[in-house]
Amino acid sequence: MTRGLCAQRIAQAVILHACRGLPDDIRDERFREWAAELPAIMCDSDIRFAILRSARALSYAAGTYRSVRYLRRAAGKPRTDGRQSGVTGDAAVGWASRSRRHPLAPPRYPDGVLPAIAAVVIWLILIVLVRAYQPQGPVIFLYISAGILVDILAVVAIVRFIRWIRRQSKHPPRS
Amino acid sequence: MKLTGPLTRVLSVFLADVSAWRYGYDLMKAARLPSGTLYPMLARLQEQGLVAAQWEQHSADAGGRPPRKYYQLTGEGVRVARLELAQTRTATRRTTDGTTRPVRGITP
Repeated sequence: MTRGLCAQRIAQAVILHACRGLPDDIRDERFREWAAELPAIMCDSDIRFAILRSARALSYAAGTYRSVRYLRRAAGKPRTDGRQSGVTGDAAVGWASRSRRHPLAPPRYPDGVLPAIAAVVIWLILIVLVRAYQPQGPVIFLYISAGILVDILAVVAIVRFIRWIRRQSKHPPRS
Repeated sequence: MKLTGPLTRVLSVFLADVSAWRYGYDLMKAARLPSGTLYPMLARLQEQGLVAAQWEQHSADAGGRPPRKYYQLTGEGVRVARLELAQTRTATRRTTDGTTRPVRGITP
């Protein structure tokens, strides 16, 4: 498999993951639409280098998460994977559709758990590496970058968790 | 319709050739917008009936690639887009001319 094809597959997987947050009635159509753009990006003659085309495809795929957030709000439906959308709509309809979980839906975790886990894992790896190898020369920048990444992930985790708590307090889950 | 910078760019691209059907990546490139900005905008325009969408028909020159979804301004979309862009241009011209900008120290 070439690197370009590999990037296209990864981008397709990212779009598929993003589309899982969409209501059932528009999920397939949106996935087909967005995935169909990937060959156009990978064959874009305006971008000279293959690696830049791959980066463009991945950036395009990442952008679909934002589109999904808007489309979900516009559809006035909560996520079909069971997590709440934060949209105040018809409560009865909301609860009914929330109870139907998509078979591909990931397990229910509070928002912010994944970034928190990632931050802790990176932090632990960092501590082990720092103790094992004294950072010298340009390697120190790698350590600093990892430290900044941990900080960013921690902030993201806290913000998402607070938002999740707020949503839960507005719409407590029925279980 | 609140005319933002990205929306102005998208409408300008559509108005450059009102008869042309454009797919998402084509619009992204022409309007220099990321996918996360373009698609919500297209969805909003479609809800308002200003943009129509249709799937590409299977053709031999497609080369086996999956069919794309194409977008075009509707008649109403063309009218509204032209009007809004003209109003924005007029407002911008007035501001740059300084005719509507209040002068400090002078009370009307």
